[in-house]
Amino acid sequence: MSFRVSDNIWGYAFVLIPFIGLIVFVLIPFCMSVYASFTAWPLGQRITSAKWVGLKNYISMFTNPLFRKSLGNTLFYMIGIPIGIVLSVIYAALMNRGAKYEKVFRVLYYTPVITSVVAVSFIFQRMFMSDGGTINTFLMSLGIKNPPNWMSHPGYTKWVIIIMAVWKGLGSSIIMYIAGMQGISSTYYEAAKIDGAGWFYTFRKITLPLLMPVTFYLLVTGIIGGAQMYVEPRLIFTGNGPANSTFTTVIHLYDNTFRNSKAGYGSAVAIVLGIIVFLVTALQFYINGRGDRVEKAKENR
Amino acid sequence: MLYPFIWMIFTSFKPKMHIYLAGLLPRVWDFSSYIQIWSEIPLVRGFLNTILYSVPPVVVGSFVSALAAFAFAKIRFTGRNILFLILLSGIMIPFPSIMIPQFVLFSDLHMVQGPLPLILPKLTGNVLMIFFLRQFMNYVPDSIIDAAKIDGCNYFQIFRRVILHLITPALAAHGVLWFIGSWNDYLAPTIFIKNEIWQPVTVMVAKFNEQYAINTHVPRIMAGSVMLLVPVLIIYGIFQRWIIESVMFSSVKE
Repeated sequence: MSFRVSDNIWGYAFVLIPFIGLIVFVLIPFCMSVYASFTAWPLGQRITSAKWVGLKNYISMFTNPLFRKSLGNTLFYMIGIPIGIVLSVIYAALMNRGAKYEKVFRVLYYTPVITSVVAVSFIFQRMFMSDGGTINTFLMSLGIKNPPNWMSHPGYTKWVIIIMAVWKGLGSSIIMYIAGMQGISSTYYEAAKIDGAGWFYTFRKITLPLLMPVTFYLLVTGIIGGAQMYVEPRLIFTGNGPANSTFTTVIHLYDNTFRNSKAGYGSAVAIVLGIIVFLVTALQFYINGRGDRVEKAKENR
Repeated sequence: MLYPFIWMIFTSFKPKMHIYLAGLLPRVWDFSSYIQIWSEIPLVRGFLNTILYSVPPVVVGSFVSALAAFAFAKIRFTGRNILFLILLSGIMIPFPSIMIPQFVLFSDLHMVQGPLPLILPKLTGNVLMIFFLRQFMNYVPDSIIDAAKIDGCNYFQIFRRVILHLITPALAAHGVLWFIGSWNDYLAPTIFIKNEIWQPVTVMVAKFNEQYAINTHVPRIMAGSVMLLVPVLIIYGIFQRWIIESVMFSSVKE
């Protein structure tokens, strides 16, 4: 057997199973989603017998105030992404300066990352309740007479989720930033030192720009994850939350499909969500690829 | 950072009305919430289900992913780059966009009464893992593989004897993250598992907690959260150094 043929056989054999997975669990379902989004399809009936309705699902989706509200809420939660990024870069910088208990801090900050979002959602739900909630008890002990009604006032409800999401994700981004900082060659810092640059100046002019890939990665994964937010608002608040203030696009999708059995409409929501995530991911690959090409061009010079 | 967990633990030992009293520590140690949760839901079964969903499938899936990553990195087969890009396109499609047809597929195959919907998709590997492992294997010099070829190894033997040893840290790092992710999964089981006895512990506890949220029995709810967190915290406590180093290590490679 020639080299080429045997390489092909081994290669295809090794990648076969993931391809079966891709086709069966991703591509076929995705095509079904696209098709279903143009039909009136009651869940439980065969998709082949669903009636073609053209763009009706999309039209009723975009004219549905609930859908727009859910999309607005989902976008609003993304405020947490820049907050988390700023906090984690500060923490990482402090921890990376050889703080005494740096490793202990890493372990502590990473703990929320590995814990179940279900358990944590219930903890935050109870910490933020008006009576006996530890947050408002604390605020009142600071002298704040009327602490916010976190759980029932639509202006505050989203912040419960944002605070929790930032708290839960912080450890992971800190680790990424520390890893990034340790990858920066010390010659940059030595050069800056010789030039007499202060710590903050060095941080702003050397560390932050060199950490751009990490920041960009966190931003993109944050948007992708944020667009799919489901568990936290579902468990912390009941239904759509006070005055529809907490439910997300995925909750809208889930309820329409699995509770109201409107799988055609649900599929249309799923497709719009998929397009958003696809665009953000594609952007990341594009910019990453561009970065790689720049690197390669430099190497070849 | 850890205050929510500390608060959870102490609150779970308080009698119902004592949560309105000041002070973090319980004035009376009350274990009734734990007795309640153990008697009310089949926790042991829930944990066994969760283990079934997160250990064997992740081990098999990691092996499958590593094999594919090896092929993409080191075997020159026709069309490997285009095939890799096609595979990669899969991660651009988020789970919520395909969960409805997946559910229909599983229920047409009569699987939603059993555990298979949470096992089968993991067995075919994880595209993100293939992506990172392929990246990692690019650092393995071709000369090692050529030497093994001269010794008469076929590609599977090369993978098993040479590559697997070299990639163990990266493989373990991504395997652990995948394991934790599937341990904590909630959305997929609520859709795909229609038989209560097959539900993972997250779903069981969430149901228990939601029921007590109605009459705000906070200690019960916290006991539920404790049961969910303690096993993970113990595993994390044992492996923390290793997990964090692995995460740091893999994020550098990204």
